[in-house]
Amino acid sequence: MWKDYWCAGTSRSYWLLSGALGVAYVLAMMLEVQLDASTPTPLRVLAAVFPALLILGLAAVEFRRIRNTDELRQRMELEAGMLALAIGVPVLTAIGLLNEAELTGIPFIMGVPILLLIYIAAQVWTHRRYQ
Amino acid sequence: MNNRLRELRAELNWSQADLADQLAVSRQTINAIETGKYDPSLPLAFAIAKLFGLSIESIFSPDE
Repeated sequence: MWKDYWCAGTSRSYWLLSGALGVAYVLAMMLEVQLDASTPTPLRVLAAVFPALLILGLAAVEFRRIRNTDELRQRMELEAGMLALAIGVPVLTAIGLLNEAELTGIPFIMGVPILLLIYIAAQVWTHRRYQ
Repeated sequence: MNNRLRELRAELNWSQADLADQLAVSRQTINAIETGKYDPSLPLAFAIAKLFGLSIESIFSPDE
């Protein structure tokens, strides 16, 4: 049943594309943390903007997958997305402000993984709700 | 909303998966409708009614 849930609306191209974008994002993040003030500015700008483009790509792939699912699953995705937004934005804001106040030192690049974890937890919750 | 989906499905000896396949939805959707956790959209309600050869109101009824 869980396989049906997590694989709903997916295809081989979905897994290939999302996998490639995910790996590219991790590599881009690894490159990003290697850069310092001695790195040429155009390369630093590119390294800073590129992950955002990858996230947009991942969002587009996910959007297409959701459109291929049935109406209940679309509702569940909507609820999970809104829940993740409602919890994720305050959490990320709090982390940002705590960092600003130098009370925590959570790297900025952890924002996306944290949001992703909250989204997955929200999906599990909505899945159980309609079971 | 109440419905007779489980009863109608049982009369034809269909599993939830059989019905889901015929309606091109997931088995979870059929289960959620049968247990009253989810009310189907109008197009899906029409598809269900057409499949069983009944009217929508003879399958679905509002809560009293």
